[in-house]
Amino acid sequence: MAKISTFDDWIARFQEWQKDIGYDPSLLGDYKFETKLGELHHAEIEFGDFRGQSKWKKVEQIPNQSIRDALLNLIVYQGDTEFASVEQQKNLLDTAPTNYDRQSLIRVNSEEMRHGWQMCYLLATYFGDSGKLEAQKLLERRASTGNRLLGSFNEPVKNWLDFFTYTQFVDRDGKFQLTMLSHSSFAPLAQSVAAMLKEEFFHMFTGNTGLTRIVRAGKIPVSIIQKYFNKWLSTAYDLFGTDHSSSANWAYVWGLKGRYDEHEAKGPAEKERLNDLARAHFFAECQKLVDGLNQHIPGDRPRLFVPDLKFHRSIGEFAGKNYSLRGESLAGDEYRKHRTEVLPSPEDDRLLGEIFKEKDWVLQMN
Amino acid sequence: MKQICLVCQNVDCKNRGSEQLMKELEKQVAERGLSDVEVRSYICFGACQDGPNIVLYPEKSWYAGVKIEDLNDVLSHLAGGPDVKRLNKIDSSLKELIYQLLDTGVF
Repeated sequence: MAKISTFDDWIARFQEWQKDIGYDPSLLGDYKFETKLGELHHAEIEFGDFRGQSKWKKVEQIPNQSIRDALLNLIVYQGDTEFASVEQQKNLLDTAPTNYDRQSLIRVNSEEMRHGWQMCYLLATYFGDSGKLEAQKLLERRASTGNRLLGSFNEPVKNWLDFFTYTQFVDRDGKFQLTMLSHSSFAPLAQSVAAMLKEEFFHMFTGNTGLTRIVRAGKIPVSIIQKYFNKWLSTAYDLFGTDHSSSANWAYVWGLKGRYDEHEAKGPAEKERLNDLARAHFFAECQKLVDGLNQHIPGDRPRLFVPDLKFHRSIGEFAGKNYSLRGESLAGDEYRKHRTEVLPSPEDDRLLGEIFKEKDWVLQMN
Repeated sequence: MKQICLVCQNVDCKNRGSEQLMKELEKQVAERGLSDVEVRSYICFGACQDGPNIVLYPEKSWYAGVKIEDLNDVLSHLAGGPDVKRLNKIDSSLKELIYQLLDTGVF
């Protein structure tokens, strides 16, 4: 396939990508794809070795190639998640429980596409041939073939319980990543993600209200909802990266990516633990949201909970280790049995299929 | 007609001060004797980056990024005064979806 040479070339590829994944652009109505730039928190670099200098407006202003490479990598990873999520969710359009949910899904998809568009705009505009090549590759990988860059974005989203759980927790990871990038020393990236963050909140809202409607309806067993939480939360933990990441350390030193609470953090950053600390913030936030959902569960039924950070991890200190949902260490056979019991199974899919035949599994919107 | 002031209380807006805002709003509504106004917490409006948010329902006015110092103008509006235009920042398509949700009475 010929390489792209301009952003307009990339737009043509984007339209081909929509067609290839089977996304009908007419669903988007008069939605206009465009680049949006929000406001900078500060004109000067906010942390790291270059603190106090003017934020870089062009790649040429970045002091060395290692920083430029790390920046390009951050943009590529962000962009990859955006297109992947549309690939994962597009099959749900025909099974939306209400017209409101269908409209919400289309809005979420259109904004995720726009976020991918925005990242490709940065790559194609600022990073020369290597950026254009990466922008092209973002449209070539596929969630369906499992070659998206991060684990969550290769997992199947089979039904609307998946979707609401995904937007509640995986999109919430997106909020964390975008918040950390919104302090970036590269001004076009910081401005881009500031605009994306505004839109991301509606996605999380869709998840939170969707799950609330499911819990209040009381038709899907809490044990099955819990299994979906186990599936998506454990993979969402991985999205924060390895516990003691040198990449995160350097991204901080170079001012490319801040702490989640950079705007209010007191004291120096614990640079060896940046990913781990962001994950801990995420865990605490998810805990509050799950507490809110539990308020709608009758007293005689089991409560939902957030799985332990050690459960079912694919990267970091606990990768491949045998920890239970509650964080206890298990023997190999015992763990394999446990994992089968607490993650969604074909039998759960079958049962959900039966439940979805009636409309009352989720509070209706009329 | 009774106006309901919905104040978002999800995790992000709480971090932006929505709990304190709601308490202050309740206090000032009581002090002004606005008996046809009821203040209620609301799950979320999906616009947390612009939060805290207050939506007046059934009137369907949406005030975003509300600070305690804005409450005087919001309360004046509730008492029959003009809209607080500077707080009207949310795009119309999001408003349409959220008002649709409110109209269902599900939340």
